[in-house]
This record gives sequence, C-alpha cells and structure tokens, in this order.
Amino acid sequence: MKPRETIVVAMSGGVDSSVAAALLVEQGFDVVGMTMRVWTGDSQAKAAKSCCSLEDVNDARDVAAKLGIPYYALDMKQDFQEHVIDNFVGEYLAGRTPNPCLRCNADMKFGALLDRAQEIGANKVATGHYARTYKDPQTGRWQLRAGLDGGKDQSYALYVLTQDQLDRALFPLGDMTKAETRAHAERLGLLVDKKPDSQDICFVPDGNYRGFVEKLAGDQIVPGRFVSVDGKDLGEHRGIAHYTVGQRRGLGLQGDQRQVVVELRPETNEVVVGLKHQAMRERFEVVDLNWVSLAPIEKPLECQVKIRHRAAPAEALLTPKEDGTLEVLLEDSNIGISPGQAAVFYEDDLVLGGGTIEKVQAKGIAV
Amino acid sequence: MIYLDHNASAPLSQAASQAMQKWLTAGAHGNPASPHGAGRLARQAVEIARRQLATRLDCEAREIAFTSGATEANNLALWGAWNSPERAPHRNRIVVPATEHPAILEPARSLQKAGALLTILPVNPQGALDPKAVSQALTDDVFLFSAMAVNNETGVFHDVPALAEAAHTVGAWFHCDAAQAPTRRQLACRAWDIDFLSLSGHKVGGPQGIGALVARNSWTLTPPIQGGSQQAGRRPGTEPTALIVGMGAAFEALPPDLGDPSLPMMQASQYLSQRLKEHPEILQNSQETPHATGVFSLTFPGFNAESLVIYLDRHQIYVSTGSACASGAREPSHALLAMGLSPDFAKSTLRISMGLSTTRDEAEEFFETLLAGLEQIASVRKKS
Repeated sequence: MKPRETIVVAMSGGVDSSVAAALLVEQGFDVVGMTMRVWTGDSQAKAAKSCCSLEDVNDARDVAAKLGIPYYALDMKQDFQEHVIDNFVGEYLAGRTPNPCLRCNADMKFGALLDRAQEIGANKVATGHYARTYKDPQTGRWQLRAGLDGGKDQSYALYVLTQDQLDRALFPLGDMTKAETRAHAERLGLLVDKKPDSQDICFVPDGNYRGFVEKLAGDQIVPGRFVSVDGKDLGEHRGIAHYTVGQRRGLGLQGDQRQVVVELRPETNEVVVGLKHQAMRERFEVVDLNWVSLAPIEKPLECQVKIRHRAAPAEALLTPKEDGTLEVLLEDSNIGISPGQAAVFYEDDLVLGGGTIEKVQAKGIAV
Repeated sequence: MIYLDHNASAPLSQAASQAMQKWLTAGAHGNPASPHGAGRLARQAVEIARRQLATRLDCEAREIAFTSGATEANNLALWGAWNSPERAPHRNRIVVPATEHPAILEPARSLQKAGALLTILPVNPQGALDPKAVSQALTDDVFLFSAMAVNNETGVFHDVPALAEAAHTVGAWFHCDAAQAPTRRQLACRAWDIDFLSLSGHKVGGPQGIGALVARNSWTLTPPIQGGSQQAGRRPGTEPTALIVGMGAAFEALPPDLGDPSLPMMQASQYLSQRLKEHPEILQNSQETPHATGVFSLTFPGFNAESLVIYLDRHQIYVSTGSACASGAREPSHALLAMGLSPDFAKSTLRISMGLSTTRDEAEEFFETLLAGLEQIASVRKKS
C-alpha cells in the first residue's frame, strides 16, 4: 500500500484554511497544519484583529486537534522581516505603494514555508485561497484561474507564483463559493465560521499603514513640496510615504478640496496634485513580469488587466518591449494607477501573468 | 515514542501513580484541615508525604510547605523573604545569576519595581559562576541570594554549599531553586545550610500542579497568596491530597544513588556522549563544568532548532529547544545568551533531557534519526 502523500496546510485559524485542511484529510492525505508566526507586534492585544495572532494560533490548533492532524506554530519572524516587512517599508519610502501579500505568497507561503514543509517530507503547501490551478496536459504548463466565487477570488495575489511553485501548491477551495465553504465548516463542526474575513494587511491590524512605516522608518520620511501639475509650489507635504496616487483625503492643502495626488516624484521628493481629470492615466509600464498561464508574449496582446486587488478588470493592450518590460495601454483612462502595485492580466478568469507597475505616463505621451 | 524532554516534564512514576489512585476515587475527598474522620485520613496522607520529602532532602517535615509548583515556591521564597518582618530594612538587595529560570528572574524584577535593588550575576561561557564575582556581589545590603541547583536548559550544577556559605558570610539568606535537581544530584538542606529550597513534583515523576518550598528556621514568610491559615500560614489554600501523595511517593521512589551505573540512563548518556565525539560539528554546551548526566545542550550551527524538533516529532521522538513555547515566535534563550551564545546559535540549540530509565537503544534511535533529519534539512536548504 502506497504511503499517503504528506501535505502542509497553511492554517490561519480562519474558516477558509480550516476547511481546506479538513477537505484534504477527507481526501486521504497525510495533512500537517502549520501557522507562520510572523509578527509579534503587540502579543498582548486582546482585540488583535491581525491574522495569525496568538488567538488565531489557538483556533488553528483547536481545528487541527479536531481533525486529528499534527499542528505546529512556526517562528518565522526573521524570514517575514526580510522578505515582507523590509520590502513594504522600502517601497513606501521610495514613493511606491506596495502590496505585501505578493511578497508573502512568493517568499513566505510558497517560499520559506514550502522549505519547512519539505524538511518533513511534504512536497506541497495547501492554502485556503479561492483560486484554481490546472496543468495543461499538452503544454505541461500550470495555469492559474480565478476562484469559482468571483466575489472571493484571490488569484490576483497569486500571479507571482512560478511554475515550480504552482506545481507545489494546492487550493482546495478554488472550485467553491464562500457559502459552500461555510456549509462545510458547519458540517464539520468547525466553529471558526463566525469570524469575519480578514481584510487588512495581516501585520497592520488597524489599517494604518502609514503609521506603521512611520514607526519603523520615521527618520527616513523627509518632508517635501506639493506642486501643481503646471509646477506651482503648493506647500509642504509630510513625506512621500504618506501618499498614494489618486488619494484625495488627508492632503492638508489649502484651496480646492477636490484635488487629488496625481503623481509621486521620489527623485525630487515632490507630490504632484491636481484635479481628478488631470490624474487620469491610460498608459503605464510593467516590470518584473511573471507569466503564468501563458508563456512570455512576443507580440501585442489584448486582454483585461486589474491594477489593484479590488479593481474591476479593464480592457487593455499589452505590448512587450525589447528590454523585457511591458507597456500597458488601457482602453479607458483610470485614476489611481500606483507604481508598486501589481498589474495582473486576465483573459476572463484565466490569469495570464502580471508584474509591477512602474512608470505611469501622462495622457498622450508614449512610454 | 522516545521521550527525551524530562526537563519539561517527567512521566508519572509507577509509585506515584499507584499511591494516588486511592485519592482519586469518591470517598477519598476529605479536606486535610477538617477535624472529622474523612479529614483525618487525608491529613495523615499529607503528613506522610511531607515526611517522604523531608527524608530525601535532609530537612524537617515542618519546614515544608506544599505549593502549586516550583514557580509558586520561587515566588513565595522571594516575596516572602522581601516582606518578612525578619528582613532588616537596610537589606534591600537581591542577587541572582543571569541563567536562573524566569520563575526567579521575573519575581526578582518585580521586587526591583517594588523598591528592591537587583544584582544579576554574569556566568562564563560554560554557564558557571565565578566565586570571586560572587563574593564581590554579596555586599552587606543583600537580603537574599538565589541560585539554582541544576540549570533547566544546560544541566549545569552550581556549587550550592559554597554559595550558601558565601551568602551567610554576609548575613544574607540563601534560596535554591531545585526544581530540576532531585533526579540529577543529591540535595541536603541541613548539611548545605540552605535557607529556602524550591521543589517541583512533575519534574521528578510526581503529578503536575504540585511543588513545595522548604523554609528552614522559623521566621514568618508572608505569602503572596492570601487566604486561610493552612500549612502554618505559609501557604493558604486547601492542600491537594492526591497531588501531595503523588509527589511524596515520587520522592520516596527516587533511587538512593543517582550515580548508580546500573541505571539505564547511565548507559544511554555514555552512548550519546560517545556518538557526539564523532561529530565535532555538533557543539556541546557546558561540557567543562559540573553538570547533569543525561542533559545535553547541543548547538547545530546553521540549523533551525525548531525544524529539528519538528522533524524528530514526526518520528515520535520528543526533545525541546529549551524554550517551551508552542505558539511560535519565540525569543532566544536568555540562559544561552548569558553564556555568550549568539542569538543565531541560541536558536540552533536543542535540549535533550533523559530520565533515569532512558535506555541506550532509545539514545541510539534518537541519534540516528537526528542525523537523518540534519541531512534532510540540509538538502532542502541546498535546493532553495
């Protein structure tokens, strides 16, 4: 009799990863539950809504005990600091708007955690992500698709996964709706289904990302000048890390309150503000590309692009450049295309690939 | 299952288990403080247990107060001494080595907040105290010097009689946290002239949830816990008969000679030492200072000790990193840091703590599995 395949499930204590673990147990795998302890922060905080707090560890442990599987809470503070936190802070200081979940998926869940899984002979890590993977038998290429539940789809943040990582990933909830997941939780008697889904960045429970960056690198945030689109000085800003493209609130400007952040210029430490129509953009450059369901393109391609996790897919034309970057031209201009965020390309629910938004061009000017 | 984590908790001994059975059934529930028949039965059992401890520890039964464990005993000793009417007001300093258990260091720090002066003694890279540094630190404003008999992480033995004498020379009291000691070395409260001694039940084959404090001479200890006047006012609260009986039986069942070569642990320990000689890449801490046979503090440079614990656990072999925190995000051991290990080395350190009945075969299976684990983990690192 063949020994059962060992799979590590990344358990957060929430309903999704708990049900994912339960389903794999029912499917006969040798399941091992693990939680990455990544941020001690305020370990005494009772109202800690952050993911993977001590309370979450206890919840995950309880679920594991109920499922009869081993469970380990791993100390991965150092890895997290190196791969996620340092990058997060550095990006804000450089005038970009990061999405740390991308680094966490690439370097932690399917990086450092995958290593820890392999140490105990598990070749795969499963998570509660709503996404689907499929290996094309003809091309041998792993494809990534949005989860069946469009409202819960988490494929956006998984575009970073390499073919090798996709080969070692399992998403048991990909073909389910959230309602089905909750139904499973009820059937299995897993009481975690009364927890609301975590929305915020796991290590910034109060959503105050800027405050977090300030706490860690406040001495590197240097005030600079607000300037208008036509170069007029509009006063002092608190430091480029405090702003993101498209932002309207919290600018502290005199005059027209409809003004938004049009552009961040880290080279001159300026924040350009203007009216909404002056902030609309349609063309930008994407770097650090990762092609997933498709091999890297050599000719222009029409598809949909999401410029933020919560953005609706927008029709776009992708043009590959000789230097390996990509130019994206949106059919409709958009406000809030932020350097540092990910642009993920879709063909309906198929994730073609994605990359990091870098240069955003003013209207009418080619990259 | 190969259990090599006796310093965390030891299996309940046969003797303790049998002795406790009677007291875990209905009808054996009397409160030892009650004057009626049910109470008297319980009282008798408690006093027998107290004498079992006294016999083993070279002290008087009336000097023993049962507590909920060694942690409470430590708190009782430190706070009790601080609040004692017998403490001269000018004596407001407490001295403790840096490698003491948190159950000593934390109350010591709280005492500091309450107005006491705190001296933390450094240790050398072996984890040992320097007698000169000790006598220098023992000034005449010291009310208490506390030093453990056997270190829980490294197994290091302090020279308890000498330290007690040094304390008394300056008129200070001496407390010894002996939670780990009874299965590792002989203790003699009277012969060593120890003022306070903390004990743990579950480290020596008794049940969890019970400990004791030996408090010699008849001064008043003001207990941190307040309530009734049980145990001559030293420690309020109903004496838990079943747990006390178990602890007493465990002490009585300890072998008369802890160095008896016929004890399985002796061969197990010798075997492991021999194997380790063939692997100089595995660093053994505290080798050059007196320490417990059967306790190995091993540093694996470049390896994450947590990974090793998990690998071994997957093979039903149980060891520890010396820091019992199952919720992850652990800090490097303060004791190892005090010995001069880097935080990385501290996080690469395993604690293997055998018990008296650990066998040579178990030591062999442990070591073979450990080597396989090191290979597996190293191969994963190479790939990534």
